[in-house]
Amino acid sequence: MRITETVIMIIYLLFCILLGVLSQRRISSSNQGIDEYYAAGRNIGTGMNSLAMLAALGSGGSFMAIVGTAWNLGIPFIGWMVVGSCVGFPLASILVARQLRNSKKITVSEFIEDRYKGSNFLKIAVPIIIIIGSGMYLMSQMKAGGLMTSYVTGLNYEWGLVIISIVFFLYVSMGGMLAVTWTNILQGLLLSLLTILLVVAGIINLPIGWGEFLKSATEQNAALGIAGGTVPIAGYIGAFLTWATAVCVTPHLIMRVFTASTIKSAKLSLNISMLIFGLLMASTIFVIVPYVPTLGETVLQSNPSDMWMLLIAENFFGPLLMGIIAAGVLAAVMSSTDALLLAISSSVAYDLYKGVVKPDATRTQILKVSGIATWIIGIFVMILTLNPPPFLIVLYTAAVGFMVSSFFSPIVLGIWWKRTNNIGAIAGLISGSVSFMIAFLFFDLPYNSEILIGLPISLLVTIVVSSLTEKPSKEVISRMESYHR
Amino acid sequence: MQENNWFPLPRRDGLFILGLLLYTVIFFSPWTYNVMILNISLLAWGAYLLCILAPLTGIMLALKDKEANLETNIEGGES
Repeated sequence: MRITETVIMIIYLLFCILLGVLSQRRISSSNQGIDEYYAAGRNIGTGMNSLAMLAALGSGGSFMAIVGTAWNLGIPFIGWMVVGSCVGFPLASILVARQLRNSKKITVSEFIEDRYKGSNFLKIAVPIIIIIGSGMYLMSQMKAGGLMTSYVTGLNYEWGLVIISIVFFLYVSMGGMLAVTWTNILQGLLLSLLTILLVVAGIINLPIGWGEFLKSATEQNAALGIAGGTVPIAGYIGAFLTWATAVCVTPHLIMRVFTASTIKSAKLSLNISMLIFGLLMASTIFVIVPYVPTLGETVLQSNPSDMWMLLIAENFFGPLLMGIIAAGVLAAVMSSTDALLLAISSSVAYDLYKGVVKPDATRTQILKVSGIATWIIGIFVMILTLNPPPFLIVLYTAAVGFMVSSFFSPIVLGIWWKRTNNIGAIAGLISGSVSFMIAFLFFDLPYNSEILIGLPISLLVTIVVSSLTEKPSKEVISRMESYHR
Repeated sequence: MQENNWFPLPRRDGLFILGLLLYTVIFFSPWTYNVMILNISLLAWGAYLLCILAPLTGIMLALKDKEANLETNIEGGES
């Protein structure tokens, strides 16, 4: 066991649980209850919300695995995947931020229900798609959490996974979005500082000039800098499009729009968080990736590529800083996991329980169902993650692509095109999700390119079906106008 | 499809989206694939440059959004 690293990690985890307890007390004493739980009272400032957004996006996948993934899949491919998010947040700030805020709804499902009132199909289908998509996404994050805990404590992967999962469940079920926001702010700060630390250490320890060092890495891995060297260009476009559109519809990311204090603050937070994210990712890729060959073939072969970044960091820092770095990487994993858990629990408690099963449910009942849902679904996903299916990166991106193919048309067209009606939205949602799944499961397409089929089909079907059927009523148009005011 | 069926997009925002589209089309065109800088394809450099350009432009647009400037704190929780 790495004693120093373990002690630092335990202190950090206890602090997260403490935040959960404090948040629960604040929610109990608040008149706002549900709004406080799911939207953190809608009073998080721009700077804090930027850090929280950064942490929600900066998952274990992006911070922990970026070095190994860039080495294996190439710098051009990872570049277009990263820039997808950097473009996606500004796009979301233009296409949906104001309208979602103005709708005064708390969750994505609730917004869709408000826009397409009276559709029982959407009322049930939307939360179910969120639960499936976020569950797939969650699996990859939990695996990273298990690996990280195992690395620090020396326990096996299974125990690492169980311990870290229980911490996640505890503070999400207790504190909701307020706890998630507070911990995300801390995690965003930690992530930024540690990445800067790592990159600065990388620059200080450069064995030769940076340009030469980067070139030498490309000589050892011929595919590292070549366009289409590892993944066909269609895969680049798919990865870019997935993340560029994901932010508009992915519940655990867009829920941050609801926590901002004003529309301007929401827009600024979306963009500032991505500027920080882009700079951190690009500097990590260009400075740390060339260090991969220095680890040696034996180390590379005997460790999962997700761990390479930590192994490189071990060459720069002693146990104390490694403990803080471990806590920082764990923060990256936790920040996405908790936001995903909250998106799932809100779908169950708020959208399915209050929306369908018991519309007159009290605040206490909703919060109770939410807490129970966090535990039941979390444990279910944890059990699946004990024996994770192979190709988790494929699953993780597929989860996002699946949600985009399902929701992008109903949400974005539903905001901007007055002609979008209930039948069109339902047809768009079904055609997008089904065509995506068919492409993913039954066709041998380039990695990440399924969205190039699912999204256009969904947009086309929504437009054609809405055009051929009855126009939305004046009441609906007036509601849409209120989103744009 | 009638034009008035769409809500108008502010001019600056529309130009930003158009610019993004143009940028990606230019960099995804095959001419960038074999232009190498430090043995890395220009296609990749285009992506990393956009990582900074896109959010910076987004920040400027948000700061210049006069309507959002006038927005007061929206109280939620009525639902």
